[in-house]
Amino acid sequence: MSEKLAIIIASEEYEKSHVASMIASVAAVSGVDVSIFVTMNAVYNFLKENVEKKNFTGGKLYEQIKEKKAAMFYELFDSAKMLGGLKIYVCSMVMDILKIEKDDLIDIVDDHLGLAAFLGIMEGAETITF
Amino acid sequence: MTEEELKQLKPAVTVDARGTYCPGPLMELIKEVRQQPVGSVIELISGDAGSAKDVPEWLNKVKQEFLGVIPGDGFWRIFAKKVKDM
Repeated sequence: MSEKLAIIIASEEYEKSHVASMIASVAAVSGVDVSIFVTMNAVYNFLKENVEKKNFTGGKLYEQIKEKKAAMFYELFDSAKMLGGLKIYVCSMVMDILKIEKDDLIDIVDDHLGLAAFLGIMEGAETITF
Repeated sequence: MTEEELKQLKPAVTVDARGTYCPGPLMELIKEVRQQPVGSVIELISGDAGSAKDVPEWLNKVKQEFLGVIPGDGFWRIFAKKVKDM
């Protein structure tokens, strides 16, 4: 595996953010440099308002994750950030359209980026899209 | 190491990660591998079947030592040794 991993999360489906956070965590603690790009409907999952109310769009597995009180995707991202190299970027275009500021996003978000910048990060990186 | 040898080990720390789901147990182990001094044996107790396969894979990737695993009743005792700083 390459030592750089880029993950694009575009879907609002909870399970997709969750699996992204699992892969990102294990990669980050294995010495892989991980960058996450959150775009399109996935941005809703990173809004403070929705995280506080656990207002997510999910399926059967999401219901089980809640019921079993498993760590949520943002908690997995948070511990990965403490233990390894992981950066989370939110798409500037979506922030513009939704009129949201960095303060509206949960604290694990590092910055907002445009596509040219994220394409630069993706260069030479293994890329997975959710 | 054989199960008998593993049972004789005196771990510097035992992390009981039962009740957390993948990748929780691995993340708990990593925290200890970071904190303990080189030479320490760390025991991880995991209720997640994947851990018995996942942990050796991770240890190999980051060049730490996997000592072995003792399967229990619905849990696994996994032993690792920190052999270099990380």
